[in-house]
Amino acid sequence: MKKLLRPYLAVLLMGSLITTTSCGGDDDPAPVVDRETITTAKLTLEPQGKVGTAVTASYEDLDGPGGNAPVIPQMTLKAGVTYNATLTILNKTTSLNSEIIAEANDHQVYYTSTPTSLMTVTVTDKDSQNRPLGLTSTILTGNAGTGTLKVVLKHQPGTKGSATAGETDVDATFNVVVQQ
Amino acid sequence: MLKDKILRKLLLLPLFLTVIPVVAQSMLPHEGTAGAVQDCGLTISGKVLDHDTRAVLPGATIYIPQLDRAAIADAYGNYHFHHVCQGTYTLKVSFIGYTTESYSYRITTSSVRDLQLHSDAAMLRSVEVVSTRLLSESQATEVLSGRELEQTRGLSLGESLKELPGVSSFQTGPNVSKPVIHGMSGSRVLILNNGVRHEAQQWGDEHAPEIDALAATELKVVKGAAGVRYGSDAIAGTILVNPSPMPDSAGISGNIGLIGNTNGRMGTIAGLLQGRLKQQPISWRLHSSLKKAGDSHTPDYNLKNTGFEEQNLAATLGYNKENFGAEAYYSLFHTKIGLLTSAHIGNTTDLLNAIDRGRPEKTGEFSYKIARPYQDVSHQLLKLKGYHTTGDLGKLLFTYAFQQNIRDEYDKDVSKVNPNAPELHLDLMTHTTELVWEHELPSAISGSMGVSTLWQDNTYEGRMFVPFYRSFTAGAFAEEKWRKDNVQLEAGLRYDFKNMDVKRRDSLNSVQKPSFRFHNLSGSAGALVDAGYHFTFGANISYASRAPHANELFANGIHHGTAAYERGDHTMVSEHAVNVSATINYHTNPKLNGGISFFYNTISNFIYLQPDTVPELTISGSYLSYFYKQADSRFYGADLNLSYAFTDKLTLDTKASIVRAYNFEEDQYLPNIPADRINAELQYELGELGKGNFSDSFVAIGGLAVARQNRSDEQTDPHMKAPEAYFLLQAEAGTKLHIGRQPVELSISGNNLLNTVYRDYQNRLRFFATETARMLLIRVNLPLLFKTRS
Repeated sequence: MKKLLRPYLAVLLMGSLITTTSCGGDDDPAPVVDRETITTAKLTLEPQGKVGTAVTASYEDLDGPGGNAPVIPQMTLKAGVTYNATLTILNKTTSLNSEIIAEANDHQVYYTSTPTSLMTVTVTDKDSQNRPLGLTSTILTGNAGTGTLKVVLKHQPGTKGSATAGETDVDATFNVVVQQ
Repeated sequence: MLKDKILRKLLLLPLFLTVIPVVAQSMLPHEGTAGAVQDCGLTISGKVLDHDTRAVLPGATIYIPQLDRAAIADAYGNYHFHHVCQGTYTLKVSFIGYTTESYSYRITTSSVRDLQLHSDAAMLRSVEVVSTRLLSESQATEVLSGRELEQTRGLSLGESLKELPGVSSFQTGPNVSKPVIHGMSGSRVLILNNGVRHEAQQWGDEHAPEIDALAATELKVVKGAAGVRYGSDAIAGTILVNPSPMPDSAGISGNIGLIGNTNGRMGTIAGLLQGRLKQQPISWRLHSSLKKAGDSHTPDYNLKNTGFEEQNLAATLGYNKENFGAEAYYSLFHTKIGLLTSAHIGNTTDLLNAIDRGRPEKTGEFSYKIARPYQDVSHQLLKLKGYHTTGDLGKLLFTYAFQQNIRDEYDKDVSKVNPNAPELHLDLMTHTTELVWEHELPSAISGSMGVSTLWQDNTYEGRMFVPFYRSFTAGAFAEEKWRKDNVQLEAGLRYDFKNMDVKRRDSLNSVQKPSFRFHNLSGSAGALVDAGYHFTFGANISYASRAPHANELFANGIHHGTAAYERGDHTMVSEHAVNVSATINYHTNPKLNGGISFFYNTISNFIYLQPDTVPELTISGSYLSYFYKQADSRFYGADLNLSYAFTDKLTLDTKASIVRAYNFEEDQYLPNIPADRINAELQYELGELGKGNFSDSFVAIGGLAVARQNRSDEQTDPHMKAPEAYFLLQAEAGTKLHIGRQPVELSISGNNLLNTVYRDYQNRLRFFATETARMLLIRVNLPLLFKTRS
């Protein structure tokens, strides 16, 4: 029995090895699906009246986290001018603004100017409950100077209203130069 | 009548003994049949006595490992072994309520040897005090079984193991708990589930072992590098999850257990049914458990979306003849675990806001609903085992096992592209084979040698965190023990070859197929000396290596919940550990018993996640960047357990653990190292109550004190300092109610009775919420014995 069993076990061992190493398909991992990721935050500033030129700046991270870091864009504005500002959130070239507007009650854009005297941002669009959304706004520049404008899009289901609540979808900083 | 009593006590044996019962039980039926094999004619006989009272101990078991034979002391305490040859024999004597003793005799003529047992107050109360007397290895080993294990019923495997000194757990909220041994976890801790190397997605901190703790009757932890027997990787230690041995007498028995937890309103039902046929040596067992829990809560608020559910099924079929046998085992584990809603965040600013807030943004009301984000994990295991004895020298074992681990992770936000599919789907298939010859040679040498293989295929769908890989590992090992008189020497060696073929998409979405080869050597040498005067000394030096895991090589993505961006390094090499340990045990004393073990583990190229000084900038802001790095590191510390019996009813048990860990290459602390802790419990035995309607009654009160991890700084914890020290009050009580012939076991365990508000350094969700509030675990257990017509 003993003599019989040992070769039997060896065969079993070898057999299971062969079957286990030979099974399984040879598929490649599926390409990374282009999910509705945000790659770009684009600011378009149109001056009210005929006092300056329109300015467009984009904060872009096309290759997503882990690739090249986004480049901080620069905007040059004219002092003491009111601009009509539009924020466009894009997945590469596709605007996601309509989706954000559809979920306006869960989203809000917060603008922070550093120093605060650099400019004043007033949000002009509202959600269905008359709370600010922030995709459109007016920006009144102050005196000449340099600083930054931070644009933060927050996803705040049920907690809308505070800049510290919720989850950050976009956090983009623009360098700003205000000239006379 | 008496026989009936003895039998019942024998059935209880596995609860009390740690090492012997498996052998002893299976050998008992052979007494008398195997006796005539060696016709040498000598007889060893005598009485088994209580050391103090000199009372005879009917029913005590005497086992001679050299002969693989056992006898039971009769009504007068007498035992006999007939037809024994000349030689040196060890007589292992065990009896309920007494510490197991071993006596070695050189037998040249028929001899009468009276064997004395020391009563063990702890064992009388059926507590499994880790009796190091039974140590079979020189490495520090801890066992959780008997009443201590019963008191953890209802907790997950990771939480149960925290009872043992040197073992802690790494948590992700209240329901995900990963065992940590001496400061290390993940793939450095090997888990053997019913003898099979558990293969799952161990790399993730939030991936708890997919094992039903309720199916185990013994949890054993071997601390320190234990790579020789079970394969490389086990740098920190090995956890053995063992079910009770299959029934060895004809009949059907069972068990029904009900467990409730006040925190989370958890309900668990577990059932066991097992039996053995009369005509055929066939035994069988079915075990199942169902768990359902809702949101846990802290003293101040509900933890939204922290419910879970779990379903388990296991079936075993065994066929055992004297010289050969086979066993088939299948188990299925499925769980769905909700993750704290407010722990899913965006960038570093969100994390800092959460820390400032001090409590989760959304708490909500208690609910059993499990919403996004959640995990859905299933694990199945099929094991086929066969053995055949090789003459008198030992036996040959062959094991084949198939495992499939499927892990689906659902993010907080529903994907618009594919709303029902998980955002991350991982599928790991593993085939393992092992051929081992366990032997006991006449020259006082025993051990095992064998070969094993492991083949693995990992695929994913959705987000990439670990790539596709297919790996094959083949290993060969031998470990031998030489035991003479009071000394045991042991040595082992193992070699593993690992090949890994990886398929991954790079950042430009093109497929890359790198291959890796690793050669890993493991070795160990140790000595165990019984110095007399109730002292045992053990020392062990072991070497183990671990090949870097696929995630350490290729991780590339954001971990929501800690706002961390993780990056692998494909140039990493295997890590190598040299572990030195020493153990001293003071045992079988009437009052003070205990043990202390020291370890010193030097790991070259230790792999860990290091926070980067430069954050990862993305469109959604900056994330703290972590990268896998290698550095020569050192882990050292000590584990202590002491018990003091004030009277035969009142005992104080104390356990303490200390771990120190440094990257000595750069003179830095390592992150996530467990803080110093001490646990003490005062137990009082009430014994029989109410005219024998209640038995085995006890009450216990104790506490756990955990220090602050002061060996942490900006480098290990850039966002939030290590939390403050804390103390938790615990209490337990239990009894066995006898309704006619039916016993009903009742017990209750309370944890955090003072509703202490605290955070634990080893909980990944400590940034978002405090730990859970007072918890009462209530258990009702019904052992079932079906009468068979005789």
